[in-house]
Amino acid sequence: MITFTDQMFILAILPLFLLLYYIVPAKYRAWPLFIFSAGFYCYNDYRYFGLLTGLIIINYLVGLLVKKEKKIPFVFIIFLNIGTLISFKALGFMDKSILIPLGLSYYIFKLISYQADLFKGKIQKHTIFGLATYAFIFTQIISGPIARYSYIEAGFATPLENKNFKTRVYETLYQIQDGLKLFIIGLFMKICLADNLAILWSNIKTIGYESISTPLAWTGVYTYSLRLYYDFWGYSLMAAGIGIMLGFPFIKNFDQPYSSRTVAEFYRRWHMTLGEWFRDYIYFPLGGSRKGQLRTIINLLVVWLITGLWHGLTPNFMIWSGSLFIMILMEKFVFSKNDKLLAVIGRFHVWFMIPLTWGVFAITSIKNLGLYFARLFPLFGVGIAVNHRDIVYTVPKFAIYLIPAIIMLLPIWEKLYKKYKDTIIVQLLLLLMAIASMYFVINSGGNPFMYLRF
Amino acid sequence: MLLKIKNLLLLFAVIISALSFNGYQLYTKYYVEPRQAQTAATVNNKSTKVQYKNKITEKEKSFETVDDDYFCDALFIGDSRMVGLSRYCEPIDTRATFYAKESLTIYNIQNDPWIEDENGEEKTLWDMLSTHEFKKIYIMVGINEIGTKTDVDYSCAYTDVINRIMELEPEAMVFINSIMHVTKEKSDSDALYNNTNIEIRNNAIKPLADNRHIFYININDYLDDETGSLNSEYTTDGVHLKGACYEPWHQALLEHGVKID
Repeated sequence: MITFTDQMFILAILPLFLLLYYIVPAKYRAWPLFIFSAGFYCYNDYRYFGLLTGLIIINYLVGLLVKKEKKIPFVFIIFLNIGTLISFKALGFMDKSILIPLGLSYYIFKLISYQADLFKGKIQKHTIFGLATYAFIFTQIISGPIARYSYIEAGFATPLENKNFKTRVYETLYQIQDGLKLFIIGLFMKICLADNLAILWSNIKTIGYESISTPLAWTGVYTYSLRLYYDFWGYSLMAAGIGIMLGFPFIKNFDQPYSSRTVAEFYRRWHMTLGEWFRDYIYFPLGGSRKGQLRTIINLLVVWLITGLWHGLTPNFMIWSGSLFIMILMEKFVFSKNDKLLAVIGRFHVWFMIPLTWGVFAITSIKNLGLYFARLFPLFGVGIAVNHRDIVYTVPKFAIYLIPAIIMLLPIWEKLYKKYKDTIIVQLLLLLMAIASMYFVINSGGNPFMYLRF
Repeated sequence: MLLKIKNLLLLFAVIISALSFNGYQLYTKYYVEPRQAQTAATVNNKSTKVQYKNKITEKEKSFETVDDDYFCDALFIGDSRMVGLSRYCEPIDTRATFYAKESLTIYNIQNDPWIEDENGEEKTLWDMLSTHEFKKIYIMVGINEIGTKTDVDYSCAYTDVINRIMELEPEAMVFINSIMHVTKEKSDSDALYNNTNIEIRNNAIKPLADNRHIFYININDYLDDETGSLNSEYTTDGVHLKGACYEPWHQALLEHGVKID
């Protein structure tokens, strides 16, 4: 498996690919991208390469009819795509030895999006090559973001074509640099913050949930929340950064979710491409909020039910999405009647309830979830062999990761970055971030024992 | 379109500095062929003899069950699994002294200042033993060493440590704790940290016991399941005991007391 955080990828594969990509004349650039993406997928998961290729061919052929706005082929292909996803998820759930194809949920969602856009006449040129590049594009295949086809179209529209050679070289280099900056920030978030915070979370698991003190249990859910945020946001920034290096537009997947005022807003700013997908391809087609209160509730229920199932089939994901659904419903229909109440409850939801829901998200076994919540709220039970000083032993050595992780939650950094990204100070800071990240990348890559110390 | 050359220079600086890190890669030597290592152990058996001087004529002692106050003058030395004992076995923690540290190896014990004393200074075990007195010294290390050197090196280092302890604390008894097993799942999936490798190391240190001043406690008898691996109910990561599951180890220690004449 090779990912964006591999030493080989960062230091060799990506630079070489960029070189190759830009040597090829602009109008043929889709080819190296497609071949590289297919190779990238094959290397990571060759067993299911055929499956994905087959799906693309079927989607292309049926798409020829869908483009003519024929309803039956459209319904058929949507069911085929969803069926593939559900079958694998169900099989994987029933038999743990069955491996689910890499990135399945993501490319299935992209294929559905493609067909829907095709049906609505939003896609001008329906080509197998375009579709395949869209599905395979290596920046998004492992864990998103879920771009629309318009992203691919924008990437291959060549705005620099008519400019002279020197301008093109400069603009390309500037673009690569811009992408690289985002890539470094993402890498830092993932490798320096998220991966280290993950160790704290795993240490809590090692102690056993029945034996953690209440303060440690709370530190745990907040640590996990931060870890998940920087892991995912970091990954999304890396993907977006590589995209920019290749001349694609920036794709925003996170927009300071923790400064949201309500849960509903939080999920408009968290994993945005997924939320937008649900909105455009499920919520709106069902009628959204325009068909009365009851229909709105049902539509929201459908969206959150599917969101829960999409993340996993274990019961904790149902509790996770169910509690979010209830909070959103209460915000929308009860608390919204009083602005001040909504302001207080909404923030309480975002800062207090959301981390708790991440706890539910993280712990897949209901029994363990019960143990954990009994420690969070010690009224509901007593722990076993709890060491009340455990927070002193466990947490301080992670302060070096926790403190920056908390400081970086402030939305001001993004604004400052946008304003000052070309100044020497920001660049030096990025250089330091890159060095710190590479230290972890190389140590964990070259030495598999880095995290194996007992 | 204002391209600043310094930006580009910085871009290259990032790549070059990243590349330069390559020089600092850490490599760890380890073996996966257990048989070779075992032969080596037999060949070099001589080098792993504990020098107990003058005490060989003493009678062998046998184990008996003791109560927790037995640990009042005891010292426990070990890696993260010993750290766990100090945090989650209250009866021992409130009575005994612990010099335990995550990722500690027998080689660290030999050479490094790794124990923080009362003034916050890092001291070697030898510094500490020359100023503190203990009657019983329990040791459990060994899992971290599996990735480095051979079982012969391990046994030699262990011998050296015990010899030096005996020099500084001639009246003390040393209790070697067997290296705790890992779960079957962990053992089957890990080319390195598996029970075969752990047993090779355990077999290398078992002969150090003379049952007069040096004793070997097989704690795995208390912690294993029927497959001879660490009981999976006692752990979530396959290696460390859960906070609530230190009791079997505690029992093993209670049932392996040796009374001083």
